[in-house]
Amino acid sequence: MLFNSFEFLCLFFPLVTGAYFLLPHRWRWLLLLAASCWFYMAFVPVYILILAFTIAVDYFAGLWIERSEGRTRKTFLVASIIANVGVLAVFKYWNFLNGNLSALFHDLGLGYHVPDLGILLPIGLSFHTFQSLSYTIEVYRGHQRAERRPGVFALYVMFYPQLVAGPIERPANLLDQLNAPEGRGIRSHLDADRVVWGLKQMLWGFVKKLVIADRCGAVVDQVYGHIGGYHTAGLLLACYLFALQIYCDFSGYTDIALGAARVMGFDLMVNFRTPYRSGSISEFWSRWHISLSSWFRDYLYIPLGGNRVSRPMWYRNLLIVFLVSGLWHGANWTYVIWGGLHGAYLVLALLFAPFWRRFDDRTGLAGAPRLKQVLNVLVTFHLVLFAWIFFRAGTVQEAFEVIHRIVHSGGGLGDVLALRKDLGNGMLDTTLPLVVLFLFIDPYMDALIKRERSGPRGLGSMLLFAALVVALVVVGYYGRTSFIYFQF
Amino acid sequence: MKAFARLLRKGLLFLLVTAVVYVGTMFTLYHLHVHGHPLLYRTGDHYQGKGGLSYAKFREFDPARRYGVVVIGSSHAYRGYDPRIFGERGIDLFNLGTSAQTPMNSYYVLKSHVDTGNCGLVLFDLYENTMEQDGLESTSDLSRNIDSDRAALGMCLALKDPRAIDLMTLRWLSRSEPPRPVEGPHRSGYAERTDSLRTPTRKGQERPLRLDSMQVRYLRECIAYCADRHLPLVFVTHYYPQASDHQRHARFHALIEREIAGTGIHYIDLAYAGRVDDHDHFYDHNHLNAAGVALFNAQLLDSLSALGLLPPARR
Repeated sequence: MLFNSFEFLCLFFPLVTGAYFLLPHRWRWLLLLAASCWFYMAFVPVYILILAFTIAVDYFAGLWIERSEGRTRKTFLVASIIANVGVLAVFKYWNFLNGNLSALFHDLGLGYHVPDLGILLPIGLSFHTFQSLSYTIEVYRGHQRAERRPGVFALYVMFYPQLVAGPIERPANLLDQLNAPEGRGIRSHLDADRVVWGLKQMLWGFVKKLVIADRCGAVVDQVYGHIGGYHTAGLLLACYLFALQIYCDFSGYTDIALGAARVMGFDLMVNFRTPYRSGSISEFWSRWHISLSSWFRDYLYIPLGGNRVSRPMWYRNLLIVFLVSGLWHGANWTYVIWGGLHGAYLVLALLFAPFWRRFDDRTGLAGAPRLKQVLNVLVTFHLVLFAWIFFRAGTVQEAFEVIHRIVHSGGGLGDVLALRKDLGNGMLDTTLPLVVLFLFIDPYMDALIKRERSGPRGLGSMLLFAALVVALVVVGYYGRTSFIYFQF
Repeated sequence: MKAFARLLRKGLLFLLVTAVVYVGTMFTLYHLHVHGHPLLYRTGDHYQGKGGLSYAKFREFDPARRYGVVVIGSSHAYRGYDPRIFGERGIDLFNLGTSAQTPMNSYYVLKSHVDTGNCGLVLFDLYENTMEQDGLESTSDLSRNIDSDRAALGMCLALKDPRAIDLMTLRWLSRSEPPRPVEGPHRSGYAERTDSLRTPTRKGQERPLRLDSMQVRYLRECIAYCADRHLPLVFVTHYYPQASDHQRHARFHALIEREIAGTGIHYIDLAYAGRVDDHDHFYDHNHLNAAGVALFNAQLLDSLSALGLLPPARR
């Protein structure tokens, strides 16, 4: 079930939330679990069995890890990791691996006839697998008590607001709220202020998704669908709009998830902090998909040695983490290159740090911190933008074709006018002003929604959010449906 | 309870403020013109102008008069059933077919305009493409041009799409807007084309058939509506070019046969039954021209007559 569907907005969410507050606290977990199952099964019902398998393995792994000591303890953790990674390998990477092996053997002139499994990727698989894994690792590390109640543990893995595209929660946060005392988490009372806060966050998420992301997506799809038909200006415009599309699509989803959870009394972790305002790639990763980058930091980067190793090993660790992160996103070389580029940016930044310090001193930038910050943000944004070309492209060849045509094909305003004509009926005329408006208000709205700044009160607040509802109805784009990150 | 009451109060006030802001925004966007068209039309691709044949036919249709045959359906309908040819057999025909009209739209057209008192037989032109659509295109057209507010509202609500709110608001805002005139020859809702296809129809790629569940549901509603009123209903499919996808249509035909099994309704499927030429009898890859319509209507009238479904000729 999609957040932006009639079923979710008009039936599922109001009914589940209403029933949640009407039920005695001790039964709420059951309602949320049933609702989460229903929510997930609205996509492909049979794939709930995969979730059930992961839940069963990790539930028992958690209990057995806690009860055992020494090598046995580690054995159960390894078994949990193998089971989870195994599910990912079969359902997400089998066809990719098989296809690559087949091509390799074909090039070597050897026969290789292992058929593709022809399975669809279960929705949100990478998200709930990582969330479940974080539980067994935390129990192994002794940071988390094993959950005794299987239903509550299942709800921890399946909590519907963040089930299919995160944030990838940690047991210390979500499981704690599922076992909270009276007045918190699952035992919270109906709080008008909290409900309004959650609904406002959901509304802002819908605006990002339907007014910005999907509109940008229509332009991007047109260009990427006919790369040969566009030149420098059209392709550059598509690249910039994709950067905005993916941010608004994913952070929009996250806002809806956080808002829906907040209405019911849950605080999910923050996943985005205006990432395109980052002054470096490392800062970007502390502001973009925070739940994933912190997951990799805690469960891969630090176990590999992090930065407490020799410099070459440190660089290796960074590259490994980002290559795996790329592969986490999708079974395609484009994602691996995307991750590799981010890893390379970080390594190069470390290698050239002394050079940039000298450069700042000589050019006087060191004495002009605001100008330096603006330049850093611009450079960082364009590095991220370049990597997004690989993320968006269907194949590596397609990505290189985009880059080649941006550099060599020329074409200015005429190309944008051709794109405008191709899109028809003022699509670009409406989208571009909306994008400019969004760039101005997003930092303000982001801080307002996170309650990091105060906003208008009373009628002013009502007018602001009424304007957002009107924007949704009048300029929302309803041609697209799914969220980009659902495929991961 | 106190929290709930506070929420309710705030929610109602918010709805009121939102409604005011919404109407103000729509009013402004509708009255601000760019290149002669309301700025509102640039905010989405779902707006259609007021006027044209759709507008004219619903004003021309006289609910107090008794028509022998009323046709409903998409452009296949309003381009494919010529009242002159039916008239030659003494049958008054009125064509209520409109662009991209889906069964959902047809249901509201039927409900608002057609009843036992003013119609002897409903010919429902079926075309698989319209049954795969969500109905937005037709609702956009009809919400501006149909003369019944109830029918327009019904279609908009059936869409379950926020854009439907805009469509209804636009209908209300544009009440005093003069309709644009009808282009090309037309009579009793039928629009004639006499030109022929210049480029030959090429065999396209085979496409899977995915009927929209809402459209199937509304097709059943149409059947039930006519059955309740003892209004004779016949499904018809007009000639398709030979180059079109035969297998896809065969699957569609089988689905329709399954839907009407046991209802007593006939489905006259003439998709590939005519001796028509893809070039001479079509004006595009989909629609019959006047020469094609003449052949099709004659064959359809013979089929209806053979089945005893033709309403009595006027005296």
